[in-house]
Amino acid sequence: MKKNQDKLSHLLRSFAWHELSESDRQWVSTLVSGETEYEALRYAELELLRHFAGSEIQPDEQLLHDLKQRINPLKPVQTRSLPYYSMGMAAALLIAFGWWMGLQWNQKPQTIMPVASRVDTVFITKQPDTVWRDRVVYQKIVVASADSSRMQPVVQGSLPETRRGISMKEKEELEKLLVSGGF
Amino acid sequence: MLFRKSLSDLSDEELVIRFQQGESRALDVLYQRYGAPLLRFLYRMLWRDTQRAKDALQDIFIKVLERPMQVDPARKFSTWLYAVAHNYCKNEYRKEANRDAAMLNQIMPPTHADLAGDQMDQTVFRKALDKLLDEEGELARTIIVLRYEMELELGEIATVLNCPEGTVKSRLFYLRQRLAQSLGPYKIILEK
Repeated sequence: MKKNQDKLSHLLRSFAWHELSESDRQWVSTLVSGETEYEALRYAELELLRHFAGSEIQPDEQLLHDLKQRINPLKPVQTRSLPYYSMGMAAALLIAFGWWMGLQWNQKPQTIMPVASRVDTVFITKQPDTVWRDRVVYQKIVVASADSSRMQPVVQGSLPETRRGISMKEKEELEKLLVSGGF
Repeated sequence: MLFRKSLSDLSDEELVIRFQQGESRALDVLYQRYGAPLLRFLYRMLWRDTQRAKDALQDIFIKVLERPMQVDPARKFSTWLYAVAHNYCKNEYRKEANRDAAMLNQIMPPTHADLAGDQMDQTVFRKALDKLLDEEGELARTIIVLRYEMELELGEIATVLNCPEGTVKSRLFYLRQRLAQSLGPYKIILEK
């Protein structure tokens, strides 16, 4: 039986009226008036099958050739088979690249600031109404070493007013004032 | 080959995609699969005009392959191809309405001379059957060709014609009845 025939087609193609089973004959009788009509339908069915089975027309190579001439494949691209290991290599490269990128991403920039200290300024203060008259204050400041390429500039904050040094000229003037008692 | 199947192992839909990607050999495989049945369908539908059927075959292949985006993935490629062919034929009928009418007017019932024993052979009978089929409307003729020439299932025919399966069944039944009546005289003569 050809695939998925409906039941009537199957019966018409396979059985004459007298070959039908009782149940099939009852079923067919719901569709046709009797043996004469069934046999006429069977004849038509078989003739149609025979008629269409003998189709003489066949496509030829020239037709395919003409078709190829007329069809322009859209955006033809070169397709080549890849060697079997290429996918593995690509995957390995991708993983390595990802790992390297991950390393770069997590690394935080570090600031190296070497520190050295030196004596910068000598402060001389003189307070006339205190027990001590002179005091030398050594102020330490932080400076970056010169050989560091990643050195950050040292910003020397302004010193408090009371700890600022005075010049020699100012000192002499102060002493004059003290002598004269005008301070 | 590890990553690429042979073209003949690919589905119709995959072949269309391959062709779109520039692989012209995919067309050869599609043509091998559908060239012959589609040509027979068109030959039957387009007045058994061989040249016309061949031209139509080319047009339909071009339409299908150059516009694959119209392919409904839920639909079988073959069903879609026949639906395109069916629509093509309908357009042709529209264009050739006058010719069609003229041709149908030429169809005559078998005369006494036709049925005279010596002249009646299978060739005459086949021509007469062709004429009888031509007498049927476009829809009935399409159903017959899809059923008997292409051997499609009734459900597939319904999909191609975009109509309910019940319609196809009933049309087919009544068509058989009409043919049975018309072929009656031939049967008597041929059996003699």
